[in-house]
Amino acid sequence: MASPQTVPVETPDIDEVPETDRVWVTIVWNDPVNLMSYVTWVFQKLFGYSREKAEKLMLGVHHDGRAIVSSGPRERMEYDATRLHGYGLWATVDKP
Amino acid sequence: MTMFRRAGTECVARFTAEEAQVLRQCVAELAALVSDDPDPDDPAVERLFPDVYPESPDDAAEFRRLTEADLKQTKLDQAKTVLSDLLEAGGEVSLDETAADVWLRALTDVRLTDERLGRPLGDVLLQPTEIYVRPILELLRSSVDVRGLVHITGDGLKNLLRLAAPVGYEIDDPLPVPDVFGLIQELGNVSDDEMHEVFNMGCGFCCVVAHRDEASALALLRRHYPDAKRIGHATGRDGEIVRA
Repeated sequence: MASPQTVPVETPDIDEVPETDRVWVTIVWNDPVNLMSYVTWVFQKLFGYSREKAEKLMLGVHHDGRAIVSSGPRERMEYDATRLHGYGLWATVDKP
Repeated sequence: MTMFRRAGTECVARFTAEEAQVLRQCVAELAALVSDDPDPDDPAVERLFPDVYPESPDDAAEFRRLTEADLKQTKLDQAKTVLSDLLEAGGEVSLDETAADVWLRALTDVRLTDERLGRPLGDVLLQPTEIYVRPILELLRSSVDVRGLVHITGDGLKNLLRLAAPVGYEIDDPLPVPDVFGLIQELGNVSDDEMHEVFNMGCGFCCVVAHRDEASALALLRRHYPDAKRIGHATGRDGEIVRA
């Protein structure tokens, strides 16, 4: 299983979030258990992302070991991480 | 069982009694893991309740303090729902969208906590057999005095006795046993002796060499298999294999 490392994270490409709130991010890490279709479905369900966007994020997790799935105020990111944990995904919160 | 299939707004599957019992047992174990005071160092618990701030233990602990009880309760409720939907006798399970969501989460938790192999069971079972030809040819072409070569397959170390020599073997320092054998033994309720009789227990090939060539044989073989080692020695007790 991939383990968390300190890595610089790219600025997330999420249009809905105002520039000033782009402070904290929620990161989902790769794991050997969850299926690609399940991860895509969770992203769609929790964040209302289109299938295309959810698949792109899922492939980011799959190929790069991690992907930024949401960004915004810290409390929102903590809420997102908790919801992702509820679905068995491995999520952390970070400030890039 | 049948796969879950859509029937109108519901997802429907059928389970045999045995399947229902296995699944119910897995879900009950998950519920026990979550409802007892979870051991934070248990890898299964770590995976169910990951650290939100891996770089900052204080923040992670604070977050855990505020949220973990809710997450635990949710996971426990999900497990209970599956246990009440799936009868011990098996039969048809029909889930609406909300129930299907709960099942998916509960089954994901079960899958996450059965991670002791370090990778999916399917990957372990599909791992191709090891081909020893190249290192063994190298060994035969070297100056090592090779007395016997044994592919350890079904029957385990008993294969050593297929060598035409009036000797026995004492295995006093076996290779580590891969985790998958522990899983097979536990789920199948198989005795230790039977496991060793049926499986190679992680030792796929034995080379019997003259004692004085032990070091050079190991040096050669370790270029291919760094974990190769001397696992035992021949004895004068014909036909007898002793495991220490």
